[in-house]
Amino acid sequence: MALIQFDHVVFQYEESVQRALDDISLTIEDGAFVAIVGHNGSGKSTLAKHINGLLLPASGTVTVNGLDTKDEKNILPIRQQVGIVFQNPDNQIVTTIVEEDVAFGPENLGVPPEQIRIRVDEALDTVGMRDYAERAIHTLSGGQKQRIAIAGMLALRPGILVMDEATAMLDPRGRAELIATLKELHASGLTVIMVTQYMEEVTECDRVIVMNHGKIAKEGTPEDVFRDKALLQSCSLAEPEAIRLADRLREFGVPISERAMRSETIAEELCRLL
Amino acid sequence: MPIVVNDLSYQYGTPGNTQFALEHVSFTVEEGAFLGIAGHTGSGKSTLVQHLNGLIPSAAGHVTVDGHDLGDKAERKLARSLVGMVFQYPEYQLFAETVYDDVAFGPKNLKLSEDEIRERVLTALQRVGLDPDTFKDKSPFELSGGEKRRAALAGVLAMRPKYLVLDEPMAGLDPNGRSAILKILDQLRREDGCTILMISHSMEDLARHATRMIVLDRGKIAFDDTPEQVFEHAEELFALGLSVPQMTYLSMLLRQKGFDAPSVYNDETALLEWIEGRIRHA
Repeated sequence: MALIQFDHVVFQYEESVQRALDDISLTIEDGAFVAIVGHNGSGKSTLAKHINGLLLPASGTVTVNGLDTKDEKNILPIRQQVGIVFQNPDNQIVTTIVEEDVAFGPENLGVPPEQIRIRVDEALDTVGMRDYAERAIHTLSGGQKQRIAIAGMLALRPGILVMDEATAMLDPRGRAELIATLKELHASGLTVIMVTQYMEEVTECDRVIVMNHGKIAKEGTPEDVFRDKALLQSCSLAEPEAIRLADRLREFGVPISERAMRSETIAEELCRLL
Repeated sequence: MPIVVNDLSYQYGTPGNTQFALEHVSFTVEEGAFLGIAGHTGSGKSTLVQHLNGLIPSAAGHVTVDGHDLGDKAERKLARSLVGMVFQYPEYQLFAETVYDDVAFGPKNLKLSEDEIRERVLTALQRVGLDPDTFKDKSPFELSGGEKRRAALAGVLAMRPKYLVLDEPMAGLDPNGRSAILKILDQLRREDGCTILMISHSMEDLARHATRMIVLDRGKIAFDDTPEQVFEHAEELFALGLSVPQMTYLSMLLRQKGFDAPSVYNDETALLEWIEGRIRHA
């Protein structure tokens, strides 16, 4: 079922001469795991902010579960379904103590206190920060704060989670753990939309939307996108390092399949060849 | 002369409930080095670099810059003037009406002559690849994400630091933006003799650009060596919450399966040749 629908969406920032979104139409199905990629300024964050009505289209419509974001009475129900986590955690933290911050959203929604306790503990477990529940947030690192911001979103139990470059401040393990967490949440029904510059993360998604100067340059599987070297070049994307290595192996006459987008898969294929 | 960090410790928290952010950290950064600093989130990287220009006064231990002790009131100012700091998301600190005024802000505070300020601003803009004629009169807010980041970097370069400290300078930038910053840093080191200290989570970038690496783990130094040597310890790095370049990882996976694949870290050729040779003789 179409969960999120963009229909000829146009958006332009006041101070800008170019359209940030230039006639965007797209459909995201319930239960999808989608990556949105593109150069800085390509419009991918602007697109993400349209999903929960933080930005409204100048023309065209965005609907979430059939609810039009332009209708003011839809905004609250839409925001209860769509959680967005942004790049810089300092802009998303509202209180001083970790567990208070995670509880802030559910409290505002009027969730009963005993339910809030359960939600906060679960969300902190999910991001691996339960031991930090009573810590002062200013003593945490940037990456740890980002995990708290993500926990705050998860405690709202949204049906759609939008990660707007939210892994930029995480260390390699933090990023790997978060992706594993998102995959688990996705398996249990969460729709996940990842706006990202990390091409390794893109290979984990089912579908990729490539943005370029406010337009959709391509939609397809990660394999489709990373095979299209001309597209990568024209949209200022890099291929994941593992795919670059697979390409180089093929140059050396080693028959690695195009499906191999991760070092683990390349190693498995090599073991059969060596 | 180098930056010398000697037995530096830093604790935070409330009395009776303190944690070490840094614990007996000692190392030396030689002039002309490109030092990569890696570590899991919360390992103390940012706390460490904030000690290098005295933003956090050292409570225990010493930091000296070219022999000037940051803990000594009389010497601190001189030591700080040698170290330029580029924080995470430095473009959030752009504030002036034009790019020129933003980059000129630091030199103006040094009470330099107008000519000297102008010369420094134009040189700094050129250094970061922002053509002065095109950019100097623009509002910083008209720039793209990558351009804003470079404008912020120019503001630090206009102070002519001998040591440039950067905390995740590529975070959030697209591939072109990332490679532009790395190219600027390499040029600064090679052509201006600037010493670079860079925090990064990208093992690929550290492998390709650093001449030396420090790996922090819970406030202590786990490794202090060349990237080549550090990446020999792939399994330990994973255990510390980090990773290794994909080529190092691929070689590690093959060795785990019993092959004697060569270890590589910033040039995959030896590994590719080894694989090709094995297949040809199979």
